[in-house]
Amino acid sequence: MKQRERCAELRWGLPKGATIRDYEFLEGPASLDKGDEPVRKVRLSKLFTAPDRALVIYQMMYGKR
Amino acid sequence: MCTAWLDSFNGVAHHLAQNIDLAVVAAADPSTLRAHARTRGWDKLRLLSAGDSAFKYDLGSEDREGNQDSTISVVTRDSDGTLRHFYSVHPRLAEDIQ
Repeated sequence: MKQRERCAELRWGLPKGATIRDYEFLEGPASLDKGDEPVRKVRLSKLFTAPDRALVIYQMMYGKR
Repeated sequence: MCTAWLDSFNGVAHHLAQNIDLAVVAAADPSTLRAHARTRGWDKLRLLSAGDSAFKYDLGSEDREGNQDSTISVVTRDSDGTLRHFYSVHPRLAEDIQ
């Protein structure tokens, strides 16, 4: 646990990351019970719900293009 | 392994939301991804399809052939709105696990 905390501490000391563009994603309705339409475009910047929050994205292995 | 992690994240989503914004991105189209999420009960996760964007390729979770690699990416936003790729890691089993 201490090692993980230390690792996290080191990570936050890393330099700021490279800038990336505001990618666009596709998202269905907020509730899974409401079917799959409409599909809306969502920009990466809109995934942040407040300032000073990090955005963690789990890129799952699902679906090849 | 992906599935177990996402099962877990879904279960503690409200705890995670106290500190971070979490989203799941997949190459699959929205209806395919959502159908899978329904079978797993992932009703508290933000589910996104990469669509036509190069996001997955650019951040290293996909190669030119379309092969996928599980990836956790952290993105930050400066006060002026600049988006930054802080880091990405690929979940791997420890070498000493047989």
